[in-house]
Amino acid sequence: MEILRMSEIHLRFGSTVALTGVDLSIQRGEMVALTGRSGSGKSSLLNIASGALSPTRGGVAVAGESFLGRSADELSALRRKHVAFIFQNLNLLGRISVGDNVMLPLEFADVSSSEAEQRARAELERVELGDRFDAMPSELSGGEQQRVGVARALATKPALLLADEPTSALDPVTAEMVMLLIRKAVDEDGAAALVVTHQPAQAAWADRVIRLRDGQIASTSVGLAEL
Amino acid sequence: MSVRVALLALLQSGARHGYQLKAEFDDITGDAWPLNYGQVYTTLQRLEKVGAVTSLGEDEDGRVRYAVTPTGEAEVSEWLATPVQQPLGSRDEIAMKVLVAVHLESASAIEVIDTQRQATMSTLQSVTKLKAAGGELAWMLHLDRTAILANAELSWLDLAEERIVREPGDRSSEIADTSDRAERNEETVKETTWKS
Repeated sequence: MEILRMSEIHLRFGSTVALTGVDLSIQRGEMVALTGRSGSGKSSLLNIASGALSPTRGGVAVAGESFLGRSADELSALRRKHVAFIFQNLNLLGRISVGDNVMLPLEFADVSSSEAEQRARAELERVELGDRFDAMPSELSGGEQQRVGVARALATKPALLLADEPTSALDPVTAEMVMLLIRKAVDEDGAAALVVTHQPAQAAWADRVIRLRDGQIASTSVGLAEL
Repeated sequence: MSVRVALLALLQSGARHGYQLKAEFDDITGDAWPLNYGQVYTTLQRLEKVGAVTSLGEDEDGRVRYAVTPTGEAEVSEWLATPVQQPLGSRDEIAMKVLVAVHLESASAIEVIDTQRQATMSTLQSVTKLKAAGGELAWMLHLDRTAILANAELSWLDLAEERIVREPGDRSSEIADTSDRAERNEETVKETTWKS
């Protein structure tokens, strides 16, 4: 089942062409990495996939629902329903506990508080922070906070997971753990994931690695059938 | 060289015949260096000639068992204690292709880099998948090393592309110009670490 469909995406900033005719489709249970030099258009493409940036031309649909002609409110409702984000800086809310941070998007999604707590605890367990439910974010290390961010993103069981340089501030062991968690969300929960990264080791977790150059797809790598 | 010393090292825990050595070698290397029995046999013969092993004669099944000698043990100790000096100048084929393409009017270094990057990334994707599946220590150590070498090669290809497109007067400058324009406009501008 196709979760993300981006067709003929063009993006211009004034006279500058940032993206030219990019087609991208991601299926349920598939992880795609976007790589490329700074300015190649990878973050722009991710922002268009999230609805945060409108393409100059072209169409985007998530889980079969098109972005076209929707108001800002409708777009954010669509995002809440289908999309979760993992960013480099996660911005956990500092004044509420780790558990409440994970529960927050669930409450926005009208999940009952008892179920939200149950799911938040399960997600924190999955990122090996089950015992930090009541801790405040400031009591956690940077790597632990990032894992909470991953738990928060995965708690909503998103159809589409968007990640922008999710591991660039992390030590290699935590980075590997975060990528493994994204991989599991794809393999076990059937999420579709689009991950922007400039690190080859992180891109290699994806089923397809797409390299952008000058706003166009320059190449696509898939794993070897046999090694 | 390393196969020869690895066989000597295996013999340090007791005399063995060729089949046992082959099986144990496969085991400790996680099947990363497939050996055939012929190789083991000729290596043992050579080791016997230089006095590093000694033949103990045939066992009841007619297989010749070998034991390591003090000379062989000394060779193992020396080998383990000696670091491998990697040559400073890169003479590998990938570097050679990129360097040749940079100087050839008819070739594009960026295309050479793209082709190689795609192949190496495929390898790294497969190795990453195998790593995620887990396994014996020897196999994991081998996968870690393969992944890190592939990663290093990809980092070098990225750096090579940056250097080539930024080279003044280079015919790839067209690429540099367009991406620089896009860079100024893209919402998130990420600095490459080597630039700062």
